[in-house]
Amino acid sequence: MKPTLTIFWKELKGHLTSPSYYAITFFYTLLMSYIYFVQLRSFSQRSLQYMIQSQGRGDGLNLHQQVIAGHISFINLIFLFLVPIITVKYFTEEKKARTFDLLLTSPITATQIVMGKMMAAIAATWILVAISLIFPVVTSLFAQIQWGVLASSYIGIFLLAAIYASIGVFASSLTDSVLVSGFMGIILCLFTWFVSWGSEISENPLMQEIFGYLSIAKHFGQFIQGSVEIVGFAFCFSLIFFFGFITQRVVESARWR
Amino acid sequence: MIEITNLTKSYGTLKAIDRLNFKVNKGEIVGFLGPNGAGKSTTMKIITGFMPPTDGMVKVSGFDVFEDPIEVKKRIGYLPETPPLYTDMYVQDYLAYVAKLKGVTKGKVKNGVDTALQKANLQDVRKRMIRNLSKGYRQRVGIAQAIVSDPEILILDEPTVGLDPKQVAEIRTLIRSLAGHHTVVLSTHILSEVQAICERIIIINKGKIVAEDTLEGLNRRMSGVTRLVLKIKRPNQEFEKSLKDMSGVVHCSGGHGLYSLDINDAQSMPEKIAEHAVKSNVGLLEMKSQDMNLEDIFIKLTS
Ligand SMILES: Nc1ncnc2c1ncn2[C@@H]1O[C@H](COP(=O)(O)OP(=O)(O)OP(=O)(O)O)[C@@H](O)[C@H]1O
Ligand SMILES: [Mg+2]
Repeated sequence: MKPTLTIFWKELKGHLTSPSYYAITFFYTLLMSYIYFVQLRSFSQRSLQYMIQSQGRGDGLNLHQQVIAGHISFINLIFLFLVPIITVKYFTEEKKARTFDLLLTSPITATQIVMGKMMAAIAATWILVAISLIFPVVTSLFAQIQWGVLASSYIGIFLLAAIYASIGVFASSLTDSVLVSGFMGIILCLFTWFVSWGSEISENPLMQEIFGYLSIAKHFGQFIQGSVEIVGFAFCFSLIFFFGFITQRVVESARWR
Repeated sequence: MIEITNLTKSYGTLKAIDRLNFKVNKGEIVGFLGPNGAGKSTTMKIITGFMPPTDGMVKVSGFDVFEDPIEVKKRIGYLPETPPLYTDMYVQDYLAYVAKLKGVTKGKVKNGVDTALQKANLQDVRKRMIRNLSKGYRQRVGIAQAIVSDPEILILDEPTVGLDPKQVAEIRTLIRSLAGHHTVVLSTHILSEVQAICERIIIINKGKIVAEDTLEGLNRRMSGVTRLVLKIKRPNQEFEKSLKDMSGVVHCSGGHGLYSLDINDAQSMPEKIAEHAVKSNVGLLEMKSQDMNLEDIFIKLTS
């Protein structure tokens, strides 16, 4: 456990002292502010229209559905590309600088190396998710927020970010080229959204069910709708575990090449 | 301390090392001498558990490198050919990180870092970023990271590469001072380096051990032949011929006033040759002894 934490802290500190991480955070926040503001503005205009039309009857429009859900989906969209970029250095740089040799000749196991790095990658992306929480919290100062649904949506995006981080780390273990690994990471992240399309082509009802289970859109959708289900957790954790496992295999096999 | 049996490594069809057998005892400084591509780095990578051999066995402190890699790696400090440096870290943070990776307990990390900085003479740059260091300093940080965990065994792959002569001398002194407390295996292709540092020398060529001896033993074997370089102002055929025919000159090559002579007696021959040159009135400009290169040594040692 101790070597895992040593690697975890080193990687995390690496992010927190790296100008590029701050630059990424800055532009991510800027973009998010813009999108959130536009969505909130159009929501308030629509609300006003709705109030006039319905003459004050009814509950009004749903802030969560119209703004928060959009906000979170937007974070997801950015993360598909951003997280593989943040995590791409994890192994590619070690291989380029030959520091991988240091790790492989230290008294630590491949599992510890991968766990330390995955934890750091997840932490680095979770910081970005946490920053995005500012927007709903500030909104709550002048509008009513459904905290329960907000919480479950955020559980969803935290889990998704962790999946992308584990995919990103896996991709970076494959080559020593930042470009190739980054590209593969993005493709793999996108692919997780399209796996379930397999159900369209399969005739077998069992296969259809399996593909249905593999649908990240379905599980994520449920979190956003406010329903926290065990199966959603199980799906996300098994994906993270899966990518952690195959990364461990790749690192272990590096010795044999 | 280190026991190597029938160690073989093939890269595809190329045999980088071929059935190596040797032992390194506790506290010894062993030099691994060989020309480029001899298989020095390959052997070291296998000892450190970086990569597995194709065949054969390595035991370190009684532990098999492939059955107990963690135990072995705890005991080894390794400086690879390319120092494994995180260029975006500060020197002292980097060393502390390596110490923790090597399993140094928390309370001892600071002390280990300070000692390593002091031994590698890096105190002035401890707060500098590695990226901004010169090549020689980086090499020293590489040495510092190998000793930071105070390991029983040090494996140093060409430790003085890229250093200026003063630093080379310093590092050699440092390595010599490590003997006794640490067991050191270092590789080099410079004969004078092993002569300056090592107690025992293993010479390897094309993946095979060609000689294994103590420093005195090797010097004795080498003492038979010395090489002289002779420079004269007015070369003529007659003088060249007389040089070649001189008794005691094993081999003479060169021409146009610059000659390389292998002589069999370093004590009396230089004097004789100098006298001969003066007598022949060819204008003696320079005469000096020269280190034989590795190829010559192999030919000598293996013939
Ligand atoms: N990864 C590799 N793949 C294929 N061949 C390799 C590899 N690494 C080394 N070799 C070959 O193995 C042989 C021994 O290489 P090694 O690096 O051990 O030599 P060396 O004695 O360290 O030489 P140098 O003094 O140049 O460092 C060389 O012929 C080299 O080309
Ligand atoms: Mg080498």
